[in-house]
Amino acid sequence: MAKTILIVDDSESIREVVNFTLQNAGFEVFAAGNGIEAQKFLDGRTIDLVITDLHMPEMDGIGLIKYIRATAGYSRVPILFLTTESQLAKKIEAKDAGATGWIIKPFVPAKLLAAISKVIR
Amino acid sequence: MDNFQKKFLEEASDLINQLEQALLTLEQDMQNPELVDSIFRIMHSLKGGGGMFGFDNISSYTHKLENMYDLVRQKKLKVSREMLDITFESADHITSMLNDDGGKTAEIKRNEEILNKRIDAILDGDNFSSTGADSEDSSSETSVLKTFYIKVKPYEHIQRNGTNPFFLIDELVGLGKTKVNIFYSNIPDFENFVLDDTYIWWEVILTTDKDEDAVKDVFIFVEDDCEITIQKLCDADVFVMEGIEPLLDCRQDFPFDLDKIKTLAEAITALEKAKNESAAANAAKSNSGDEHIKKFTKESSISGIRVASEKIDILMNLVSELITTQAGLNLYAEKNKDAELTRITENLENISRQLRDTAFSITLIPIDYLVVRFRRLVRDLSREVGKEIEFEARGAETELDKTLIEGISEPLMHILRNSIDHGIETAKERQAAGKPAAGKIILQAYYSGSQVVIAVTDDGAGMDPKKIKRKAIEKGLIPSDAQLTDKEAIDLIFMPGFSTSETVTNISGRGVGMDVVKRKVSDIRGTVQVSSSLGEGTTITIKLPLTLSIIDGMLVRIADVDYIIPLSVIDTIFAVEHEKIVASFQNVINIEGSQYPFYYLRDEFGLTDSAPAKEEIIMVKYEDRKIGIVVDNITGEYQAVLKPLGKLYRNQDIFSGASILGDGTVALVLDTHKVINQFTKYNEI
Repeated sequence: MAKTILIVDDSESIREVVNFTLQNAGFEVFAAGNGIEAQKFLDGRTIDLVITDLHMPEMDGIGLIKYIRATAGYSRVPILFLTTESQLAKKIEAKDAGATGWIIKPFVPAKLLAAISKVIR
Repeated sequence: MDNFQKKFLEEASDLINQLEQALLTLEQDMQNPELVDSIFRIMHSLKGGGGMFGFDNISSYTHKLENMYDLVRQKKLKVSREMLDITFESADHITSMLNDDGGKTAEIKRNEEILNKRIDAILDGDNFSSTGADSEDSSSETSVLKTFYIKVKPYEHIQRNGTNPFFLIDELVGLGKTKVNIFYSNIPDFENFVLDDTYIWWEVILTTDKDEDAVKDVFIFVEDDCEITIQKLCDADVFVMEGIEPLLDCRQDFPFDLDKIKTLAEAITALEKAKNESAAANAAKSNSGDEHIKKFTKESSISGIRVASEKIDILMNLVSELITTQAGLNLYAEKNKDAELTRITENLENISRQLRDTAFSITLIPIDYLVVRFRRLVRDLSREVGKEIEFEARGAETELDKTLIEGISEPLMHILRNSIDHGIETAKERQAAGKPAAGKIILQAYYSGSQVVIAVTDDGAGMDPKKIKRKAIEKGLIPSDAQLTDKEAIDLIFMPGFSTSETVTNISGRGVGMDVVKRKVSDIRGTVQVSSSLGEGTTITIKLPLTLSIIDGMLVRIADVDYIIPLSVIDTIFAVEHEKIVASFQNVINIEGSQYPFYYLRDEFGLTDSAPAKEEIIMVKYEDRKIGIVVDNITGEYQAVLKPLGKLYRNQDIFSGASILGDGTVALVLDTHKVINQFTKYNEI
């Protein structure tokens, strides 16, 4: 069965690029525009991987990561966050919150898939 | 990811088909710009796709080709036949790279070097070598196989942020060839076990063409979640190294012995390097123009390693001890009649036997090792004496114990010198005798039973028994009225102080005669024979035992003492009544209608107690005769590990050594040749 991935980002173009790339690679992809939407989506649904941006309205990435880790049934779900090279402090914060890894923006499809392959098989 | 790569592979093989098609057409129409364009495009696609999907080698290789065709497009370079050849071969090369599962990487690398050189030659020839757009790109491509040691010890909490530590190991495995050792020893007992905590850890030996950064990259997300050690062991593929398997044995909870792996790898890489250097030197000599890329045939692994000869000596010694101990165990097992013990003993014996044979074969060196030197000697000497001489070596692959090789080198050199100097005639003399102007010396080596025979044959003048005899009389070596057969006369050359050369030349007239040859050969338990026919040539035959340290022997007893006679000299064995021996006249016995001289060892050893009623007479080969040696009885065949005799007994010529039997007693090894010589002398006096 195809692995399921939730992409959480407020930028539609990012969501689309990720969606397109991941669907082409054979994943089943769901999208959410921010942390709250993501929370609503999850609500007991099984998911194999969450990819989230850090800067979002409503509930940001760090909040989402903390929420996921604290929620029964999701505590072991791998989480990748999107970041830029310059945001080192954010990276540490996200890691401390319980993220599994990160993807540096901008990225080419191969990079994205490589990062994903490190956390789910 | 895999899907993408598969896609790319399909795409790439399509591209290569298109490439070949375009090349075939271009060959007919070398200046067609459209074809050049389409080749350039294909290269470009391969390069782009390769980079995107992890085929960096393809990407960087096609980059070069792309450069070349770009220059053609810009009309700075003309399509040449060589360029087409290169591109055809490149198509093969790229196919190889696409299909490489990691096993052929070394060959592919080699092919690439050859092709790169040819591409460079084209670019160089037209002074375009510097036009390579980004040269750092191609220099970073010199990736070779490297071996890393990686220790991954996750902290207990690693899984809490969604990391699956198995994926780390999986990813490492995906980088190349690996051996993964796993450690369970930290797993706590049940009460203390926390579900989802991580207790196990790993060691990985990885051979990959990726660099250390790529290995580090695996752990990029988990740097703070585990203890990671990455250590480069060597710049080579340890998995193809001979003798590595035991070192890469993954025994859970026992770490790899890195020092040993490193030592072995260093030794082998050094050897490889030396090989490559000489190969490179050869290649340089044979003008690079003739180089062809090889579509891989078979995995070329390292064929040997260099080991200090002392280590081999130690190994051989230990094996000797093992064989002796084994014999003791056999005896004990036989006595105890315990089925289980017998079974184990037999198994162990089987293993020791194999170990012995393997260890023994390690000490063997092909005669070819000497032949190279001989070739040179013949070439140089024949020039010096102004003779034309061909040298041919047959059976040079025959292997001999290294000590024998060392021991036989000088005698053979001397024999060759003799042939060149005295044996082969000058071209004029040869033509007068109706022979081809060029003389011929053949060195032939072959196995004969447990012996190795090395024969040096020349088609020279041969030896004149009359001349030899005259010389021997002149020198006072034999009485002037001695009656000698031709063969006996020729054998005189082995007498000390004999030299037939009319003029002492600086080649063979070095004061070393055939007597020295004979002595040197017999020092290593060998024999020398000469046969010669006047006008046709001479053959000198050296027979050597296969090894010096272990002999197949016949264990015999004389008055409760064990002796060993090498099987190689034994011809036949007869049982005879003691009375028949007593009744024999002049130590000659009649057996089955033939007369045989014999030696009664009881007498020779001065034993006076009574002999058994039935004794055994062992016919041993002595030169071309058979001579009997009488012993009390025969125990059976025995594999004797030869040990030298102590200082006090060293001068005992008739014993070539001793062997310790399974029960701890010592058996002396009889050198029948010398037994016969010595007692003949003694009896004649």
